[in-house]
Amino acid sequence: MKLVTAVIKPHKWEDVRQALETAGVSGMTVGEVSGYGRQKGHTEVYRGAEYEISLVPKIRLEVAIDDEDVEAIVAAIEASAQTGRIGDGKIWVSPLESVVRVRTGDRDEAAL
Amino acid sequence: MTADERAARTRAADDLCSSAYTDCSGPDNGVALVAVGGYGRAELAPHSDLDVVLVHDEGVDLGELATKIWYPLWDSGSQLDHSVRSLPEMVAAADADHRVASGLLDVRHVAGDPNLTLRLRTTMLAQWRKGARERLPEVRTASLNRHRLIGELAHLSVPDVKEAEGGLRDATTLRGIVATWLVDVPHTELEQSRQALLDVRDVVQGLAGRASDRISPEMWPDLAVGLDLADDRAAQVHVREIGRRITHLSRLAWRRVDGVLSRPLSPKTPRRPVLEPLAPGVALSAGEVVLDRKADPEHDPVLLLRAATAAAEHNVVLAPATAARLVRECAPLPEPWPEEARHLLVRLLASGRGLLEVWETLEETEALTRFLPEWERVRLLPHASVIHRFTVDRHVVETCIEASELIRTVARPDVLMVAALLHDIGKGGLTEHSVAGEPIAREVATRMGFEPDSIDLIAHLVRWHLLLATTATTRDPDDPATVDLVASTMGTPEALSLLSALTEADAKATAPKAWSSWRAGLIVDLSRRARAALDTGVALPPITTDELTVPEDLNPASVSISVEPVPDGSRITTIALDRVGLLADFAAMLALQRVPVRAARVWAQGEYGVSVWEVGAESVDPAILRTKYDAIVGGRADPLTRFAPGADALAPTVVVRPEASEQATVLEVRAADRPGVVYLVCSALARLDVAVRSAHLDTLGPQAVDVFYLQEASAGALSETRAAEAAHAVRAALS
Repeated sequence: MKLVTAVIKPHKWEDVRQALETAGVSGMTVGEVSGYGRQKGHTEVYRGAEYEISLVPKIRLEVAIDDEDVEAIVAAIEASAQTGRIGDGKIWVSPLESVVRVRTGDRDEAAL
Repeated sequence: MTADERAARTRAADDLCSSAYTDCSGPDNGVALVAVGGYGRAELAPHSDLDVVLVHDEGVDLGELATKIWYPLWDSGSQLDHSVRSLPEMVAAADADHRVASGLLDVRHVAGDPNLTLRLRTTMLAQWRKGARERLPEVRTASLNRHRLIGELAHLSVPDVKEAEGGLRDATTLRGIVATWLVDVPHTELEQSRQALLDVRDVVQGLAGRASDRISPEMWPDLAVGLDLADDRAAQVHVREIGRRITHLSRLAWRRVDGVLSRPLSPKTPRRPVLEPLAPGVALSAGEVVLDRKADPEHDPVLLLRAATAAAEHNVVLAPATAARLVRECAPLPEPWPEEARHLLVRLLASGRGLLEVWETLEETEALTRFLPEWERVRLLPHASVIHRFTVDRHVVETCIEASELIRTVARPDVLMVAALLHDIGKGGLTEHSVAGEPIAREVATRMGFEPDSIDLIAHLVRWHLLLATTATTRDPDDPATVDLVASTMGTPEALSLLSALTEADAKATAPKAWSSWRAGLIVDLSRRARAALDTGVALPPITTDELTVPEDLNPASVSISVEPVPDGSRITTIALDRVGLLADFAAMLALQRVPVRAARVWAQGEYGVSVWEVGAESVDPAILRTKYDAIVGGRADPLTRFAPGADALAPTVVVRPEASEQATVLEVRAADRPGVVYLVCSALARLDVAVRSAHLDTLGPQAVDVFYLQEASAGALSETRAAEAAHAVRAALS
């Protein structure tokens, strides 16, 4: 089992959601987050005052999936989240030790 | 489900209780079984508790009665809430807890010694009245805490008809307030609303099958059937309207309580009402805005707006009787509205928190439909989206309150406030609400007498009020096409600033989540990018170069001051040999004479300084103005001490626009419109030896929007350092 986490641009959320649904992902966790990567922050002037834009708004989503689905899911997120510009985000995959479905008590693969 | 059924339930419970009392051979003297709370008021709902007390005189031995009497009541399946107390114990319990005290106000005889019940009742009421001044603040704190915890009946998605603000508990509290004899509230209205809400609760409990007072979303259609209303929407409007009315009465009553509590116990001053004049025809009396003797509603169509604005700006109640009288007697506003009416409406909308209660009074008394009949479209309309905290009408008022905090960020506060008022006016139909709202907004703005370009701007803002928020969350901000879409739709930096402010106000009024730092970050970022794309110079009024005839007999040491009447005010023209500080002296002259400046144009004409002032006073004597001017120039009057800046809620905005002109430095000032504001700016500039070459002064609602073209006394634009120095001095002078 793997946990796929992706941090993407907010406006790409709708595209990514559709791509994941098409790929057969039925559930995920989504959050509004802020952060920065290689682009770092930048300074902007707004209404006459300088603003340090150090944190950029992003969407973070997490999907727990079977090992064999990893390639397809990562590819689906990658293709749908890409604009080719700086700040498109990251996807990472981490191993999952165990999963429990709270309602039924199902374990691991059965709980995905 | 009616009052009759509640009475029938109460009779049945009474029969049960009194037969239990008789069966246990309860005595006729010294002991009584009494009903308290809702049972005491004979208002039992289908699943209400039976709240009873077995009360006895001190020294009376109850024997087994105290334990035996409850068994038949328990056996009957009733939810029983019972206690046994002596009369002094009851007095002590009421003394210790205001909730017990208010529950005992409704004590009612059921069985036993009627004289004892009567004594209990009289003692309780007397004690309630005696301790009211200490008690009421406690009651109020408890109510406010409950409101904070539960929310408003009128706006909650799952309202609780008992505990919510505007619910049954508030209505009962109101009865308690009236019982103190300190203040009064409109009885009939309160009682009608209370009975109507009791009907609702009966149906809700019937549907829920238990003692629940919460209306879950799926309950509305059945509730409509139970209340004999057309559909679920009608049921929502019905319940929420009652909630709103009780909330309104509650706030009114508490304001009156505040008024009474803040007055000393034994007034040394005469008891005649003291009227503090606030505006022509409008005065403040005992914390409420009323009409004074000079008021002439029949010939003063603006009086309603003037009274409402005065109340909102002072954050006090517009007396409902006054509002009702104005609705009856006030002449209708001519179309298009006179300038004063428009100006007052903007000030009303921008008055901040004070707007809420005044707006509710205007709504309750139907005064609102007099000048904004379109309001009916959104009244008590529930929102389709669950993210909204409030119904559409309340959301609009909240948007105005939020927008009033942002007026310093825009050059057209009047356009912002009216757009905030009208942004959701298209809701409630099948067409997308911003599309449906545009023509309505255009019609309303036209009726209000706005200039054609302002009408376009208002209509445009209503049409596109969702543009920033939706584009920022669904389009790529790094894509030039996204920025171009926003920039080209809005067209000018001015329109974009207005849209940014409207978007922020709209989101904040929707829910805290709608303006989280995350969402705000996205929206502000897009707005900033679009602004950068549009910022090719700000459109400012040009340097004025009119030619007026200088009077031939004007000698270098003298001034020419002339006054001519214009509709709703006067135009004052001043001409004098130009010098640094001349404009400051004229501004001080008008401010000292309490002449309200609406707008002004100032320019240099050869060696003369000319200023034309549009003022709101109808009879201005040039001779008196001249005396004031001479006193100022001669150093006999010191305006600086008279017009020290007040503590304004919003800081002034002072911005240098280096790109706007080559011959002069442009300084844009936005500040609260108060007497002496022009003087404070001009005198600060004069102290720096900076000359005002030309100026455009305007008052838009509560905000003065002034543009000054500055030059060094020796001619030429200000250097960057000097310009910053001037801006700093002006900012300091205003805050």
